[in-house]
Amino acid sequence: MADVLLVVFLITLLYIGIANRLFTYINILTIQGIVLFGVAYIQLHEMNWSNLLFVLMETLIFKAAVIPLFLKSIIRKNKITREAEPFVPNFVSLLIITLLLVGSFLGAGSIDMGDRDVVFFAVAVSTVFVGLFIIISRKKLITHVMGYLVVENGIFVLSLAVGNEMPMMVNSGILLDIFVSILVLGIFVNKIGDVFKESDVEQLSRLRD
Amino acid sequence: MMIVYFAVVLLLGGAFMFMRRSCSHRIGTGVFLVVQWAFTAHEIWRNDDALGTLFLVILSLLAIPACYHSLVYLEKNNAPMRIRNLYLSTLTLFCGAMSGVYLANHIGMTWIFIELTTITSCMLIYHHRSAESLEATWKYVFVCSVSVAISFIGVLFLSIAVTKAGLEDFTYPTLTSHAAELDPFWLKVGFLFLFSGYTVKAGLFPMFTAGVDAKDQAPTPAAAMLATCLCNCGFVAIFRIFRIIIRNETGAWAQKVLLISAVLSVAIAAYYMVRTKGYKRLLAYSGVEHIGLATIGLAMGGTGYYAAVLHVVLHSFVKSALFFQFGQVSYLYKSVNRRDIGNYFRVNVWGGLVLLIGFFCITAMPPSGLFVSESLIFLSMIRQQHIALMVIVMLLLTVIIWSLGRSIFGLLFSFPRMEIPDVKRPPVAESVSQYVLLGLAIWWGVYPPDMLVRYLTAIISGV
Repeated sequence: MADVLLVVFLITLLYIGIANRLFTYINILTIQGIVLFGVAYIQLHEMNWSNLLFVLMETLIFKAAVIPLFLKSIIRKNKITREAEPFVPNFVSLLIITLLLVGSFLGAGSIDMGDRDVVFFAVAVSTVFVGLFIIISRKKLITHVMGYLVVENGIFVLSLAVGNEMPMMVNSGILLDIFVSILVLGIFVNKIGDVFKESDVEQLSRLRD
Repeated sequence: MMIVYFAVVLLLGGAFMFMRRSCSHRIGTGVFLVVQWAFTAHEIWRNDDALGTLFLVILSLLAIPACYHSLVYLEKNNAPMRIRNLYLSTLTLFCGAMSGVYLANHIGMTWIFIELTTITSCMLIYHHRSAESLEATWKYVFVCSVSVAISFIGVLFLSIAVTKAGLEDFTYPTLTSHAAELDPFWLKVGFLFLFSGYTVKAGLFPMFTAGVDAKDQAPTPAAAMLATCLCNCGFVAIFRIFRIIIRNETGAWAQKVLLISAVLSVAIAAYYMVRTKGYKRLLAYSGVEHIGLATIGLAMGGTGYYAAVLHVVLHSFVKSALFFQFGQVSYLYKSVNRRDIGNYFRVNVWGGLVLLIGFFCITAMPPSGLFVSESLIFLSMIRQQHIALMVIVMLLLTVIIWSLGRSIFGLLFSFPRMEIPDVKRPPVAESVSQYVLLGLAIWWGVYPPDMLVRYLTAIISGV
């Protein structure tokens, strides 16, 4: 069952490569949040309330609800044009993302993983790479934040693959940090929208040597 | 005790937001310094972890002039009360987060506090509310977030190695004592990710860029903290991971990684210091160079460890002194561009003298303490038979000394293109802290106090 959900997750990665509109990106992030909840729920080793609460908070509440709503409100408030404006054509994006997926699976297959699940590992690594690719290939700052969120989703899958055994306090600290950093990034997208009229990377070229 | 400290810092940070008058700001920062020193005294007394405690002492020492100059800065620039509140509040929280990085005993806790330093420092960088500061803040927050995410991947990879070895505890003492049992492959991958993520804080190649912009745009007292204590955070985080991997069979490989990154950092610093026109950017790149040199010391081992930690400590004093002085420069001239300003000796004799002594200290000429640490680093390079590399680094240092000399002597003695604005000359009292800091850098280097030597030997005995 977990494998099926992971395949769905991979399909969302391919879809994000060809999506045109920002709201589609956000909807994909929501879907990813829900899928991650499913995967994490299946992977839970022991059913105690603190683990369940943590997973529920991280996936369904933060990843699938709060952050997408926050991003949507930023887009509306700053009247950001609805196109994603990639630097590369969609077809090339799709091709590169496919190559990243294939590469990650081949790479993960060649490593001695012991008793860990190779599929989890490969999905996690490819998600991180796709997120980084989204960051470098899109022009708008808001899509950079979305790329960062994809990277965070990849890290979440990786922590499931590793069987993250950190104490509860550390886990919740990490969760809180990520959440606050996304809020801060969102606030600065707002500010940049106020100052520069348009919030894309070409505006940010004043500081140089 | 730690929890009490963080709770108090958090409360103080919140309290700053509701202050209406600048006298309450003075009381607030005073209370913060008392709390900070009480906590530092407690840590010294507890005597648990020499590395963290030493850097905590440095932070607490530098927090005193940083708070003083911040108050002076806010007063002079007549910022609105809301912005002042936000500045002091985030400065307090920033110091708290950095103390957390030094003392964190668990790999995950280090990560949390490193991420917190990003979040708390963003409002310090954004203080001027200008388009440039907005750009610097965005770049800083974004690059830091992505890099720190990368280092979290490192934590996860490292945890594969840890669980493979049958350990359940992620604290540094456990990991260091069981380092030899860790799986080399996962340890390598984890180290690579952790190291490249934390370079964003230390200001090393590859992630140094965002920090330079941040130090350029932040107000000078905050930039002093970013350029010293925050770089120390990155250094401590890297050093802690390095202490684990050096005890493993992959230690030699990790030393190579550090060496490559360090030499490239020095080279990049030399290149940009020739090009750059802003003084604050120049100092920021000089920080890249010094942390690079210290990392060379780490990579060499032996005497190198001692030299590296000493170098970072002394660099903190010199660099913060220079940044505090450039606060006066930018106030007087309203610019920190090399082409616009000059004749500083005539304008402000005591400040000019700080820059002159600071120049000799930062370029590691005797009697600067950095001379001692730098020569020890070169000595360890000779011992490890890295003669060719040493010659390259020395040539790069020559370029760096030339560009620092050109800029600082130009500022002191040349005639400016711009008229010197008619503002009140800063009193001598504002330069006192810099004399003290430079004096400390000379004293601790040439004739280190017993306490420092004890800490340094405790740190290197842990390697």
